[in-house]
Amino acid sequence: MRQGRPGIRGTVDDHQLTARVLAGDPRAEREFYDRHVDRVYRLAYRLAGDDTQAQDFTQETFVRAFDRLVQFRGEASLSTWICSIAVSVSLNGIKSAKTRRDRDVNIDDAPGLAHRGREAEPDLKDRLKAAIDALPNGYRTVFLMHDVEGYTHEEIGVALEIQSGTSKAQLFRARAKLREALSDFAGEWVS
Amino acid sequence: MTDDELDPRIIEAAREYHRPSDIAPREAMWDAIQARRRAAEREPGLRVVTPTPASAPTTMPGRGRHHWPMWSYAAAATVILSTGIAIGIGVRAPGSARELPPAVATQNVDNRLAYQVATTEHFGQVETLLTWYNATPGQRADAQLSAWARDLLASTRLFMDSPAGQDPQRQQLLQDLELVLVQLVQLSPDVSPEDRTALDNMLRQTTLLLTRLRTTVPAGMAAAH
Repeated sequence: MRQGRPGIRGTVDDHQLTARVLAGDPRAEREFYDRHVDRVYRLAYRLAGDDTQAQDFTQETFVRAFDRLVQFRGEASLSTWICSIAVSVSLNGIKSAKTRRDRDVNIDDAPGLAHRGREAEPDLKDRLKAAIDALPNGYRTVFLMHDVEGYTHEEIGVALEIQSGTSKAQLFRARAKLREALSDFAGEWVS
Repeated sequence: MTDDELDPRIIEAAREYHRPSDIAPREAMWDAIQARRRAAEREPGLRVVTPTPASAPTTMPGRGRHHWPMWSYAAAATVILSTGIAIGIGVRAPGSARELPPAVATQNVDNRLAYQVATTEHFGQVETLLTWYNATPGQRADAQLSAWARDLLASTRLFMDSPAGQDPQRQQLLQDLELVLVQLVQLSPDVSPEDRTALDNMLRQTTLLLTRLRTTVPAGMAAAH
């Protein structure tokens, strides 16, 4: 199941709304915000894992979006455009705050995750969370955006400024690492 | 499902990873965004840091010997502000100020005084809040502090749009207070020490805010009202 499919509204609608915002219509500003805030907040929260940070990143995203809206050319949907800002703000914010140092640990350097006995793991979800945390930043971001939040590779490519093929490759590797981390649950969790 | 795709049960479990609440805190974020944009318009280059929550006081300190409940501050500010607005509506005349009869002109003076008194009182309440916040580093913000700040934020905005905000110096102070109050409104009980530090730093950056407030609020003014 994919949630919050982007680009629900057409580009014509995007341009109309953008024009109204740029003309200084406060109701359009609020409509712009209401239309995108849930998706931005969800994405920021997925990446940050912290409500306060997610709110900070969401606010920063919209402040920048309003500032830069004049630069929006419509090559991508408005939704994709603002999500690209959200990803940039969130990843830079997380890096700057250094609040996720534990996630810098490479999964290859954490053999305990993959080889610990099952009886030592009270909760498979905890194992999965640890495995996702241990993914390299790029892999984790692509995995969360694609498999969890339902973004397409094209959208991820725009948001992360990478080729969609790169997004696919990173997702492939992310899934492989997660399978490896959960290998001792093969047959039950891993297909 | 292709060979590469993960088992649906894993994907389902992955959706629990950093799962956000179903409802984004829209209004609080919108207020903060608006405040930041206004600040940026006033001072290009200014970067307003949004703080992170902390837990808060369970009781609100009073000023001086009295310990008033927090709603009394908001109520007092509202009554005073309403009085000022009512006076303003009452003296509104069709002609220009030069054409006003002496009685109305006198009322206008009273009107200005009413707003001056109301804003001074309001500044006193904000000063109390900020003084308390700065004096209790070990405590954490809670819903009460947030509600207190929210009430003062609402009053601040009313003043900004009232004749009280026509004075440039007062307007500037109101705008600076608005920014700080927006941050305080967002404090929550689970704020981390880092977030508290961020807010403290921001308060320090709005340097001299308390000094400006104290300069604006004559000694004993709050007690007089």
